[in-house]
Amino acid sequence: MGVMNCSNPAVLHRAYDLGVNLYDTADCYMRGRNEEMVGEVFQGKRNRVFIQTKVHPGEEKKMRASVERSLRRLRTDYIDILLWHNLHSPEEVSNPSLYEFMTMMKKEGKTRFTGFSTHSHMVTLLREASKTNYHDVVLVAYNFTHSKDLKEAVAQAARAGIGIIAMKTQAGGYKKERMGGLTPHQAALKYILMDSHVSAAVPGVTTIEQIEECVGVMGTPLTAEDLSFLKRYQAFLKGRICTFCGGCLGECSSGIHPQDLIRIWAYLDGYEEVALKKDFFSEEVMKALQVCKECLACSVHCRQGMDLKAKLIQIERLA
Amino acid sequence: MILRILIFVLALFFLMRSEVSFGGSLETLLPLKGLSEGWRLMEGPRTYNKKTLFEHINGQAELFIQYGFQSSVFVIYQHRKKNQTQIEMDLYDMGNVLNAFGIFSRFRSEDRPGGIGLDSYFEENSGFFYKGRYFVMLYATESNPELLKEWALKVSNRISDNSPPPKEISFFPQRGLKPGSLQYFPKGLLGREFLKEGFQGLYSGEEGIEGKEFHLFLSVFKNSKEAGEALKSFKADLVKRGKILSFPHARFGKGEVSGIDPYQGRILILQKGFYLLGAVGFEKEEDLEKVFSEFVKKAK
Repeated sequence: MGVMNCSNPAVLHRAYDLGVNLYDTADCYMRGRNEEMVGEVFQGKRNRVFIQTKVHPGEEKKMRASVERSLRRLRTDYIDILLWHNLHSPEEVSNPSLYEFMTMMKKEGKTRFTGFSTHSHMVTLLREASKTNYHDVVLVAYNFTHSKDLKEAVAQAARAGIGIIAMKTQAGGYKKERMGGLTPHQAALKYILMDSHVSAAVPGVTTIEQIEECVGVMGTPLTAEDLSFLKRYQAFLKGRICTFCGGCLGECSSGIHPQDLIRIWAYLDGYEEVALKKDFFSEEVMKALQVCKECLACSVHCRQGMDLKAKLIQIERLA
Repeated sequence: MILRILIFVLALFFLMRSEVSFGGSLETLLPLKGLSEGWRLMEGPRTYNKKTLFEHINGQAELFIQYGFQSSVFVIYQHRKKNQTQIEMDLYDMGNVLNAFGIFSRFRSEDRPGGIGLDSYFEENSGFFYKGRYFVMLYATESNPELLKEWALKVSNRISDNSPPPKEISFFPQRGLKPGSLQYFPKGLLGREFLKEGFQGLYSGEEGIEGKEFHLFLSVFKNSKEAGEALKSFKADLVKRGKILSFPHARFGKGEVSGIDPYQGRILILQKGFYLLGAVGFEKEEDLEKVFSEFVKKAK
C-alpha cells in the first residue's frame, strides 16, 4: 500500500487486517509525519510487515542523518527496503558512490534491501539497472496504459534479479461511472499483478473503502471472463489515454509537445476539479492549442493510436 | 479634472509600489532585489505549475494538488560571507485560505507558533506558515530559528491577502484541544469515503493523562440532504462493521448515532444542517460531555 497521502491510522489498521504487508512511505512525506504514523501503527507488529522508505542522494552526512531520522520515526532498527527517491538519469543509477552508501547501510543492518524509485525515463533507468548489480528493488510508475517498451524493460530488470514494485497503478483518478460500468481500480490493479515480472504493487490509498477495493482483487482466480473484461477495458482506454511513452516528442514542426498537454489534461480530468481545469487554460496553453488547431499538416504520430490533433481540438473547445 | 487625474496617478503610483499579492506573478511576493546586507539570491526564482511540481517535490506533489495547488516558486538565498549559510524557500499558491490552512495543517504535528501569517510552525532548521491563499516553507542549512522567522516575515509582509482563517476552526472548543492538532482534509475525513471533506482536532480526555485522547470532527457537505445521506451511510456502516449503542434519549442532538467502530473505538455523530459533527476514540462519556455540547453549539 502506498501510504503517502494517507493520514488516518485506521486505514493502515484495516489494511493490515486484510493481509496487506508492504507499506511504502518516504522521509519527506509530510515532513516525516507519514513515517511517524507508519511507525506508530506497526509498533508491536514490526516483524509481520515490510516497510519501504526513501532517501535523497546528497552528502553522506545528510543521507545518514536522513536514514537515522527515518528509523526513529518508524520506531524500528531496520528498514526492509530503502530506496533512492526519484532518480532521473542512468548516471545516478550506476553511480558507484550511491551504491557504496547503500552497501554501508546494509552492512550496518539499517536496511535489508536497497534500490530506487523513478517516475521519468523509466525504460532507460530500468535497462541501466539491469546492467549493474547495484539494486535489489526498483519502484516504478507502471500500469495498464504503459508502453511495450516499458513492459519489456520491466521484464528485463526482473530477469536480472531486480524486484519490481509498481506504483501509480491506477493511472489517475478515474470514476467508475465514466468507465462504462467497469470498475477501473480493481481491473487496473489486477492487470499489474498479473504481470509475472512484478513482485508487488503499492497503490496509493487514503480511505478504508479504497484499500478494501484493492484487496478485493487478491486471491481471485483469473478466469477467461476476467481476461475478456480486461481486454475490453484496455480497448475502451486505447486512444483515450496518453501513456507517457514519449514517442511524439520532437515530432511537431511547430514545437508543440502534445504529450505534455494531453497528459496534464488527463490528470486534471481524473481529479474532476473544476477550478483546476479552468487554470489549465493559461495563455501559453491556449496559444499552443490554437497553433495545433490551425496547422494543416500534422507530423506527429501517437504510438498508442490516439488522434492527437483531434484530442487537442477537443480540449481546446472545453476552454 | 486635474484633481481626478492626480488622484488616478497617485493611486497608480502606490499600486505599483505596493507589495500586492493578487493577480500578479508569485515572484513579486519574494524579496529578489535590494536584499538585506550580506545576502544574495543564489538560485531561482524557479516557478512550478501542476505539470512540473513533481519534478521539484516528487510524489508529494500529489498531496499539494489534492489541496488545490495552483503554482509555486522556489528560491535559495545565500549569505555573501558565510557561503554555507543558505535559506531555501518555497512559496505555494493554494488557491484559497481553506486549502492553504489545510496543507499547513498536514505538515505540522504540534504547536510551535512563530507569530507569522495566520499560523506558523518553526523548528531549528525549518519553518512554514500560511497567510491568505499562500503556504510558505523555509529551510535553513544551519540551525537558526530567528533567521528563519526573519525571512518568513519578509515574505509575509509582502502578502496582502488578508483572508481570515477558515471559520470552521473557531467551532472547535479550545478547552482540551491539543495545540496544533486541528487539520483540514479535502476528502476522506477519518479515512472514510462518505465523510468527504472536513476538519478534525485532537482532545485530551483528562489533563495530564496520556492515552486518554479523542478526536472531534466536522464533516462539511453542500447541503442538509447530502449530510443526511452521509449520516445514513455512516449508520449502515457501523451496523455492518461495528456496533450501534442505544440510549434512552439523545444526549447532544436529535438523530445522534452512537456506536463502536472496530478501528477507531467509541464514536458519536450527529447532523446539524449541512454539517456532521462527531467525536471518535473517546473512553469516558464525561470527557465528551464537557466539550461536545460546546462544539455543537458553536457550529453554525
